[in-house]
Amino acid sequence: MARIIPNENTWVGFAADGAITNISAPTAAQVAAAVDLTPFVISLNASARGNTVPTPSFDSLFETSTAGTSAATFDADFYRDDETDTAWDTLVRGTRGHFIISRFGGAGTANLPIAADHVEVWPVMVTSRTMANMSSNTVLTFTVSCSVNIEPAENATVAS
Amino acid sequence: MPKTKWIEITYDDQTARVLPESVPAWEENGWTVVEDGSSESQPVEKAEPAKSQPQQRPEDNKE
Repeated sequence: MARIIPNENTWVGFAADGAITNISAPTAAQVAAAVDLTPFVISLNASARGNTVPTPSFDSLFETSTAGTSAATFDADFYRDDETDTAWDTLVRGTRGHFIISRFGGAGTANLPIAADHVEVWPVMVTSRTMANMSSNTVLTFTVSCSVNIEPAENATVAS
Repeated sequence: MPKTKWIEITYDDQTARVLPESVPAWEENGWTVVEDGSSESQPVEKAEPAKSQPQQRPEDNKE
């Protein structure tokens, strides 16, 4: 057991729309065919939030609540590259696909997830791809915002 | 409203759909474009409607 940072541990890939047939169990081949965006990722925010619905009643001073809907958001920051601009070229606005995140890294080469590794699979549609503000002595970066159009698989296992 | 054009690409025995602007990036990653695989309709994930199971009536059990 260890507390780790994402650098040199986490792996992030993007699979094209239709390339993953079962988000709870993507195959190793499907993960390997995803575009490796790890070298371009600066930060990544994939989070889900649940709602609770208050259900108070006259017979109690305790205000009860029940489970409501839940929603998820997905935003990430990437570097631009003047030669191999993989992240910018792949994440065109309107693109559908699946972000595959292995937070602790997989057992494959360069942390690629392989069979039996755990990953998160986030089905998304890119809603915006916008450059960060330009200024002196600042590397060119961009931000991608996505809608999460299908319930994500936050504890998927890679199948063989 | 113009329909989105999607390009079908393949990698080994997998197929996927991407926007035309991103095709070069996928080709650099080993994917190839499927000839005549483009479509102008937005891919929509359709959920299979739940099939209703015929309920067994109590009288069906009578012999």
